[in-house]
Amino acid sequence: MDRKKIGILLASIVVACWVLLPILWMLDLSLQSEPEIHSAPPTIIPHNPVYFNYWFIFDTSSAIEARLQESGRLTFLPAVARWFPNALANSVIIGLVVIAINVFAATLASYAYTRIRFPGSQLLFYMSIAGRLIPPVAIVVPYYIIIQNFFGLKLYDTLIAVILVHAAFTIPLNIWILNTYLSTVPADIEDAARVDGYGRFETLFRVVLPVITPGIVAVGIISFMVSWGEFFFAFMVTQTQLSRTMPVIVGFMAAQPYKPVGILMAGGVVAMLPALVVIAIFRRYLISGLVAGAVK
Amino acid sequence: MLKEDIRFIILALIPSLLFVLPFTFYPIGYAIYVSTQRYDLKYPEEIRFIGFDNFIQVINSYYFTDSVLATVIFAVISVPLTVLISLGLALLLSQKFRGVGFLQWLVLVPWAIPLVVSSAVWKWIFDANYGIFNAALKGLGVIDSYIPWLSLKWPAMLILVLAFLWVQLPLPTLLFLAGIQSIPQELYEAALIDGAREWSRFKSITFTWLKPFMLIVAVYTTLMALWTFDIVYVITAGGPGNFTAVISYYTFSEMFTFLNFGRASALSFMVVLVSIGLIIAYFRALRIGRLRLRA
Repeated sequence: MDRKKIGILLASIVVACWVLLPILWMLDLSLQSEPEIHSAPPTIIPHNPVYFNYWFIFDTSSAIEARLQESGRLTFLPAVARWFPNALANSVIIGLVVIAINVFAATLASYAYTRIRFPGSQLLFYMSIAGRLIPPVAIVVPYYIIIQNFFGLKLYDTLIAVILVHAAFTIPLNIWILNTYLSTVPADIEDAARVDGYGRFETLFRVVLPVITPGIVAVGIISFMVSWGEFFFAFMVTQTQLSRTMPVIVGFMAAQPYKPVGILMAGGVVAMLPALVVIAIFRRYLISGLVAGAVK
Repeated sequence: MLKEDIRFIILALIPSLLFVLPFTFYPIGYAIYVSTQRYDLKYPEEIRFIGFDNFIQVINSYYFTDSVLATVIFAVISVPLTVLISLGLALLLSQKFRGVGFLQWLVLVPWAIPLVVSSAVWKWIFDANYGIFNAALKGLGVIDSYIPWLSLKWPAMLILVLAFLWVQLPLPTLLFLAGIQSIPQELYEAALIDGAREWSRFKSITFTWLKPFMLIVAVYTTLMALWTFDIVYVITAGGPGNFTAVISYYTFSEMFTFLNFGRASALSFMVVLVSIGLIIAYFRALRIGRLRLRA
């Protein structure tokens, strides 16, 4: 027993280091000035941590002004960072809506596919997940064309466009995941509930949902995170800075001819915070005590 | 079939199909159409049907062999590693010990960082002059002078694999973890009574139960590995030489640098064919006849 405990402890330490070291290094770099970052050997502990990079992200205009007065010349700074707070808010809104759409649509669909025998179910299921087989680079142009005219709606350059694209991108995978999850859960209790006179919807919401909570939570986290990090499609279906998402703005910051490493790292640190809160909220429900009890 | 069931099926499928179908069939049709056309936006007046010429041009191009090789090397190293490590992580995280909640959260954290930034972090760690890796090795006395890791073939490839693992592990781990939650505890209790050892309990219960999840993870990770673009673009830009220039790197440059949509679509199609072949192989390997819709 003790040997197992030591094993778990060692493994946990390795895992924590694996995840944390690059993050700590990112944090470290974000607190250094550019000359400090570009020095060998690298600075491990910033002698006097600078907050300029963070200041720059949250109040770009005044940070640029201060830098001008200080040195009298304007270095190449990614002024696009002034849209960062707005992009962060956009990304949070989009991510939350994408979670809602996915949990709703994928749960309903996978329940219908898994539990009800109907002609064409196999075909419809395959059709629902086939879209994910094509590399993004090949479908980005048709996606763009669809967004220009989605059933008569002009959605280009709106948050709705990004939501739509991200939902279309995540639903297939999530249907497959929930289908797999549901097919491991015996249908006995559902049958019992149906005999007791529950309708399909009642059975799904009252009996099935509590049992498959870990699967749904996983689907929710996946939807949010895929949307949160997605650059390419969000870039293609938006045009004005007002509707850009966080990864796009960060991508622009990185695409400057003079790459401001510190500002980029500060962007990464700030960008991960909202997502971390979302993961923390959802993770609680990932391990469900209900599973073991309900399946008996 | 009951009337109520029909009504339920229709209501339950409409939301997902509304999102999925337009974004599946139009893109597939478009990709097929474009890949058979001379579709070069530099010469928009010359768009016409050319059959399989795009495919032939792509196969005969200067980059084809090298990029296939780079992609294969990258995928062969990174896919099995991702599957195995994420399975191990999920097993660790499904144990009961103090701090496991924090660790579950921590494992998902790399996901929260924009890919551009996490790739830049890895690039910066291994930077020849300012990187902490070189400084650490020199400090420990392992090397005498700084080594330009990203300019060396295999180190560059392995750094890409490291970065891929770092950003891609959260999703498979989460899936396995959710899968493990659905294993009925009675199975383990029964196995314990039968006197099964830990390894055989793992093999006959956990692994068997997780097979369908393993399939999703293998398919997803393979697609991600075959499509890898961002980390290559940021960390090595295809170098040294063309050693890490994977297929998607050329798909992007055909599409957005040379604006030759026809060839980019042809390349993508080849990737799709390879993915389908691999998916079938995974079905066979995991002895899953076909996608089961029901238990």
